[in-house]
Amino acid sequence: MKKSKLTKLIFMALCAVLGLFAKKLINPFANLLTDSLHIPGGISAGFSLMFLVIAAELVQLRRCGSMMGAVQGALALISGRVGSMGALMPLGYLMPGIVIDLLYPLTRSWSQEERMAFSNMAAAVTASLTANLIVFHLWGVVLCLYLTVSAVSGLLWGLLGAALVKRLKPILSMI
Amino acid sequence: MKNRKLIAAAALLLMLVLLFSWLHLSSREQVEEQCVQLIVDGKSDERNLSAFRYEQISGVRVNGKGEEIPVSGQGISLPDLLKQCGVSTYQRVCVVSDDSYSAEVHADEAENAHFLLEEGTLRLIVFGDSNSKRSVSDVKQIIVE
Repeated sequence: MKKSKLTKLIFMALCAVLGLFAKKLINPFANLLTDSLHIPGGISAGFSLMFLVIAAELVQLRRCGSMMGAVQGALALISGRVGSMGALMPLGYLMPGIVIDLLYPLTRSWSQEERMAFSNMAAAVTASLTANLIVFHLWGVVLCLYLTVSAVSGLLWGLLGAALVKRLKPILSMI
Repeated sequence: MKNRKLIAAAALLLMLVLLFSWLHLSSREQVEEQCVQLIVDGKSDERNLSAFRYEQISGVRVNGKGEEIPVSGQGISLPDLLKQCGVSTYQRVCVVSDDSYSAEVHADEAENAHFLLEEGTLRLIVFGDSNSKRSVSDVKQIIVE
């Protein structure tokens, strides 16, 4: 295997693991906001998915998002972090990854910030929709609020991801 | 202007969040602290948690990681709670938490469903469930159908 490809795979693995466990870091802050809005979530998923979008932007491998989503799902199953989704938990990780893969070729002509922010937003909304289908079963206004909060957080975390990529790109190009 | 698309999208989404927040917060039923709202055939009634007669409950529930957690404490079974509220016949019960998360319990499995008293709020636990899907904390509404 080429050294460059191995470096990319290691970076993807790192981002997949970071994405899986980063949620815990911001959950207390996210819960403050979601509790005040009386919705079951929608903020931390965007932060977690930011790492997938960062990897997709830096690695530029085909099906990068799906691969990382599948790895995250497998890791969640192995480590027993299945939550209320049970055996369907891998689907909750895989679906946003697929959306990132589908959006990346379509948004190639956009600026890096736009591409990352909109991809993260779409991935976050997909994650929330999947969680709603499997677990929450919200409908009406509360579902709309849940999805728009996901979209806003996805967009903002995507912008943070874009800022991180700007700093990471020169470092990674040296490896 | 640079990133005009992003600014427009963020502004639109924030406006939608404000609109839906207002709609959601103004339309949802406000239930007092330490109370639960019981809705039977469309008629709602707010009950103070101290009005129920609790008993010692013990069993095993499965948490989000699939681990078995022993549970014990003051609580009340679903049939007892409904009986104390004067409800004897029902087909299913929908339990809704403060964050709009809900779970359904059918009449034939009601014996396994219990409400555990937890820091001045109720938590629904269905013994025998293989995951935490129906572990509903901070119960605010019990809808009986």
